[in-house]
Amino acid sequence: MDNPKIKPALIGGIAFGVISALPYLSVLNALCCALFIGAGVLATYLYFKEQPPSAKRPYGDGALVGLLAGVFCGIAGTLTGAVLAALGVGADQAAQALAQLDASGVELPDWMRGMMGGDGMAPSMFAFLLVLNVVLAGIFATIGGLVGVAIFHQRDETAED
Amino acid sequence: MDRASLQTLGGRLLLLACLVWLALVVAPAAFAALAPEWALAGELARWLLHPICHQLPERSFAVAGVPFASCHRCTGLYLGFTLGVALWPHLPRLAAKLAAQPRWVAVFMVPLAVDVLVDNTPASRFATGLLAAFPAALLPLLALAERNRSTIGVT
Repeated sequence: MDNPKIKPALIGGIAFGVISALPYLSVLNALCCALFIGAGVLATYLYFKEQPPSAKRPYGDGALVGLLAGVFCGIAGTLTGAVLAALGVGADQAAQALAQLDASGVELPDWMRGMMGGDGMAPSMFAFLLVLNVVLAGIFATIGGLVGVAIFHQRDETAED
Repeated sequence: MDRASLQTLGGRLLLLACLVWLALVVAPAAFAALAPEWALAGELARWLLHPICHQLPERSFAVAGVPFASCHRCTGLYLGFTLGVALWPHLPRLAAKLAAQPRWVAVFMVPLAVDVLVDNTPASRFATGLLAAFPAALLPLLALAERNRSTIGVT
């Protein structure tokens, strides 16, 4: 945990990842991916709180902190979602997907229906959701990280640019 | 800030990724209208985007009765971001001004936040999404330019 980027990314990612899987609160992600972007913004805020002011805005650092927060957010969200689905609490993403596809009138191949599983979440579906959530959260939290740099970076006015 | 500093290989790849993303958004409607036998691919695109958008049909653009994979606001955000990635390298003076005062990026998101809270229309949702994302698209281009400069500095 020596890297100063890891701790803020973990805090931002896990906090918003868990929220993104909770019933009712998860609807915030439907507002322009607010929770994934929020994970990046919070992580960047925590990161820059500990950094001295610098002449140049370190957009690369912000993007990396945001990306890390997104990865942690995706993992935390999927794990929380799977635990809640196993407990019968909240939304089962696999069941929702099946219902959505059935409602659209699209005929699903048998292999895909099998992958999505019946009761609970099949391991293949869990793996697929994990990858999907990590990729989506990674993309949007990176943007959140960049916005975080724009907002929270303290510029050192005395240093040469 | 000159035009070349924002025109990087990473920027072009980012533009390509944004275009692929927009293709995912229109895929359900496009497949249903142009190649109904591939409708499953379109619906899978819709499912891929379901964690990040409510996808309510009455709040989404539609072609031939089939809604896009994202709502008016998200479509505006994605299109605004794509336009930003494509156009900022051609607006170097404006880009330099925004890069000097990047907090303005957050100011452009205020109309979107207000629109969420008030009585809104499809046009207002789309327009505020477009307005919020266009300036934000400069930030990844600045990050890529920074990376490019440091790479050139090292070699």
